[in-house]
Amino acid sequence: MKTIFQVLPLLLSTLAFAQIPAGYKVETVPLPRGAVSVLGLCHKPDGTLAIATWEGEVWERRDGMWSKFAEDLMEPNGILYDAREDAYYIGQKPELTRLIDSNKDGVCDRYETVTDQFGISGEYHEYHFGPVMDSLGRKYASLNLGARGEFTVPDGKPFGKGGGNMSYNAPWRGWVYRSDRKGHFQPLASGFRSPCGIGISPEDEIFITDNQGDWVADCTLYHVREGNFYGHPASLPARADYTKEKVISQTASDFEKIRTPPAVWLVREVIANSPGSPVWDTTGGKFGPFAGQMFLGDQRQSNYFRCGVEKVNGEYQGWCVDFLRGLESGPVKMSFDPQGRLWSAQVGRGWFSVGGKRTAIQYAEWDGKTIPYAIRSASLNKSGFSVEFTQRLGKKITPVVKSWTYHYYSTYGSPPVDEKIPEVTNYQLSEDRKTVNFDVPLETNRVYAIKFPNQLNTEAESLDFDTIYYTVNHLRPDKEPMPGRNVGWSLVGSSWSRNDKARPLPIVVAPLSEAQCQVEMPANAIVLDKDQWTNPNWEFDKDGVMPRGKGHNPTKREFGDARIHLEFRFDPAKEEEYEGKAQLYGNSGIFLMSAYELQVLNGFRNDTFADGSCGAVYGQHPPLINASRAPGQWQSYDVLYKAPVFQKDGSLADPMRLTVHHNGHLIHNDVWIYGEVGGPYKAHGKKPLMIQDHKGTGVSFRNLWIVPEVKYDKELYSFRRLFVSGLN
Amino acid sequence: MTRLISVTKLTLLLIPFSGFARLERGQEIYSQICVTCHGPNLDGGIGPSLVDAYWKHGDSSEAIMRSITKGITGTEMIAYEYVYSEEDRQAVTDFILDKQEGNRQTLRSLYPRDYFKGKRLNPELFDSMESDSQEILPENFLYTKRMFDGVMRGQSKLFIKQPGKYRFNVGGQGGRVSIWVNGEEMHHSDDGEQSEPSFNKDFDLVAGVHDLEILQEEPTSFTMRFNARLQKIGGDNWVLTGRSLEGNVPKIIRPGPQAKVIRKWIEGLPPRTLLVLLPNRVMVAYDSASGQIVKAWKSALVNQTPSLDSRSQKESIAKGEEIPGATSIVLKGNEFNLLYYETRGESVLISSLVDGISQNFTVSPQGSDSFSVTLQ
Repeated sequence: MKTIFQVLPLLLSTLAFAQIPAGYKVETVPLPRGAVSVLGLCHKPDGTLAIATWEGEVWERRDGMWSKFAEDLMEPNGILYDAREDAYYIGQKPELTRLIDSNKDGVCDRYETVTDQFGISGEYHEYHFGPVMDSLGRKYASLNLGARGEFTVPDGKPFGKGGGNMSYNAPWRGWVYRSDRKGHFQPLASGFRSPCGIGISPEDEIFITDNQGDWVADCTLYHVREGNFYGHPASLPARADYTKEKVISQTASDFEKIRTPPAVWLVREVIANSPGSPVWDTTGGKFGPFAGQMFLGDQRQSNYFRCGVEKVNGEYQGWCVDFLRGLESGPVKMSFDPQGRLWSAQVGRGWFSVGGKRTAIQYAEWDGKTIPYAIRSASLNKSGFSVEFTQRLGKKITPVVKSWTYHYYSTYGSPPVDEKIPEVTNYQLSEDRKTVNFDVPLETNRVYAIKFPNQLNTEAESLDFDTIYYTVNHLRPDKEPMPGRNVGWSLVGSSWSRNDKARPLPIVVAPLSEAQCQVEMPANAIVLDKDQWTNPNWEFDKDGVMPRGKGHNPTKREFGDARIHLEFRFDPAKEEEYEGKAQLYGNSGIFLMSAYELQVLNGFRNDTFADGSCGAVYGQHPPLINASRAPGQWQSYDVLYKAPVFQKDGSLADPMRLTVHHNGHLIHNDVWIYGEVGGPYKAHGKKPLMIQDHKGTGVSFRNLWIVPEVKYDKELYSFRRLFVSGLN
Repeated sequence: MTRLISVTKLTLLLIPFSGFARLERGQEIYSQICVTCHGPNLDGGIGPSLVDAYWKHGDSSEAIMRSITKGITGTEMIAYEYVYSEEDRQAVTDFILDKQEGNRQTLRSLYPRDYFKGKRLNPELFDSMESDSQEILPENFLYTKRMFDGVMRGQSKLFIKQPGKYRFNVGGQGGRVSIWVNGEEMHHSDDGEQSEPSFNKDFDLVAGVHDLEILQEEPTSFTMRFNARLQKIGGDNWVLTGRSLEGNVPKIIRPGPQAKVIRKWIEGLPPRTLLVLLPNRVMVAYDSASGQIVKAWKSALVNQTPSLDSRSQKESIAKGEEIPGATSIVLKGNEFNLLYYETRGESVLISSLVDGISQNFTVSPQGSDSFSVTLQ
């Protein structure tokens, strides 16, 4: 009944045997003429399939018929359908593009550049993968390094002997970015080499797969957190705290200190060689007993495999296990259709695929009843592992465990290093015979291959794939770090929680001089002098300086969209007095519309959690950089914001947007404000500007003015360029 | 030393060559009829190029004659058997063949390694054994499959128009190669055994058709490392090896009744260039990052075929007759952001942000070989 090896007649020409789990079948879809390399695919909610090809075309398939939607693009390496906008997004080599069919004749008639704010030198390997979309509709894509170029990071090893092949030829190569809307380009995380796979979880978390090569020991699945660095140093010159010279002067041990390891190593030759994009089984069981798990494919292995992650010590880590083999070519992008079938765009060009065909579109479908016998998942215990199966196990077989680590170096790929075969003890089978628990000596930064040789189920059947690979970056702590307080919104796409202590601090840069920060007050500005404030505890002195007073201080007038200028200065405090009390060093805040806080806090040699530091949108967005001056010196904020727009029923129609300069540096670039400082959006109209009272050392304000009724979108372009800053 | 081959044991080609009166008749018909689609230089237009390495329907005299006689179903190539006499059709065939240069249709035979171990590669050795497979390659050059584990023999014809001294340029590593022209070995190299010295002769070729035979073996690798060119000393050279299109049809983007915008990687053009291809076959390269027209051509097309193999390591080619003085500044400013583009019939509308201010312009055909740019 549940025979594991099954002959697929349609694959006879290339591969006589495939490993298809019981209850599943694989079907092949004929390609449109000229589609010789399918690089991307997606579904519309109505079931329409859309593909993007290397040759530069986009095709739609309805009722089995293909029609060409767009053409003459440059190597679109992924396609996404945005239902809210009824438009496709494609990551073509020079830009992220929106394809619009405004007259609804089934053919794209407008090609809109969404972002081209990243560099491209023309080197052929500068691929652009994606996009994917978060629940707010924002897009994410990844940028390959160049294969050839002048700037590589060989770390002392000769080129050609594996010494740092991939090069940085243009800004933001080797990064993952977010594109919110036209003009908004936000680099999210660095350190990627050839990040072909990009996916977003149902919880709005970005995951990237990368290809083994220089600085990448094996194939990887990364959990991407905003601001983190994932290992390939050629991408670092884009960061404000690095230059090319600094990168070259450092060694692997320096980069190791700032590197975040992969959540899962996708073990070479066994699971993957060139992994594609992850998708999550959100079919609610339509695709079998693996709901919630990640499915991926590999361009060489021509397989589907599964992954799962769990938070251990606040960071994701997890496992991978093979799922299905014998596809015609190598999957690079996948998509679940509304019926719960798992489709893949497959290519065999470039690197040879086991499947053998140069390209294919196939889908896997579950029969809705047969539970295949498989390892379902693995989880780390305090002293070993827990492995779950989909079926009841027969005679108990003690697993065989092997562990290893990898080199982190400029050489192309790493063999398994320091292999060990630790002893398995305390084997226990659960009462329902589906979960195995055992102890094994655990060490961090190792892959554990957990193999169940000849482990039959109660029907005496064998496993398709008897080994699951678990990546241990952390051991189970006594107590998991507490997630941030839930205030009704989350930090979509950044993968951090509110006030997360592990979030990287904003990079410190030199502020512009006070003279460079001078701005001309527009004629229609309202000077916020002593007559404009309501709290009598806040008083201006004869020099026009207003120290923080008792109780919050709102303005008399209410404001909508506005531009604000203000200056602030922290009272110098003795460092020993405030050690460990970072939030007490000059704390105040600019409460835009009385509800959205731009943090005021000494940011000079005063480390605190990133989204509570000076210039942060408190709890949401750390500043892009830390341009603080020392206490005792005057500093400036220049703020442009767009008030949130609400529907009649009070729900949010359009979020608040914010762009801020701190001491002449852009620290927020048209960011999406997720809600009020302490809770979700509540519908409101114009509101007073308010300055916060907070305990701690003193802080003073001066030279405050506000321009009411600004046209945010119209002003944004010139406001971004308000100051001449090399970083912006 | 050299001789004209008129009969071939491979029956690959059997053609008359220059000097026949009917070449003139062929040219006459070509310039009346064929030129419309295949272009004055035979390098394509609405129809495919007749002088490149890719022949969808075969490049033998018989195959070309058949295409002309019967036409190609589903294309604008009609059956000319009802229009021209057989003699005329043959004249056109000869005219087309007369325009060919370099390597022609290749017969590739693949053999197991064992038999050749320790033996010197030569045609007789290959003749003494049955091949594993034999295939006429759709490309006019030689290649093997990835991870090929065996020995290869390629047989083809060289079309030579320029008489003179020639030699082979052979590269690669770790293999052995023997190249024969008209039955004489002109190149021999063996990186492995060194049992006898390598040599690479200079040799004379007269204008005409010559037999070419390439025998080759190398260690199994991801892609074939062997590469070879025929070099006219002090002159042109012709590629003899390459990469398979893997069954891809050559892809050429040609003008249509509506204007098109093409985004391709083209040697020498900035990566954010929009190629505006107008119905009058004029193509304008507009660099969206600088607001400038950087180049323009008439009788233009984009040949994407070279970029189709492997991993896009090669550029597409913009072809046409360059329009002198077409370079110009369209938008003045410091910072240019492309907003969108759309086709408006025969024109293209391009919208940009120039220093924060939106500016639109159209590119339209003008006359038969020019274009105009209109700011809006």
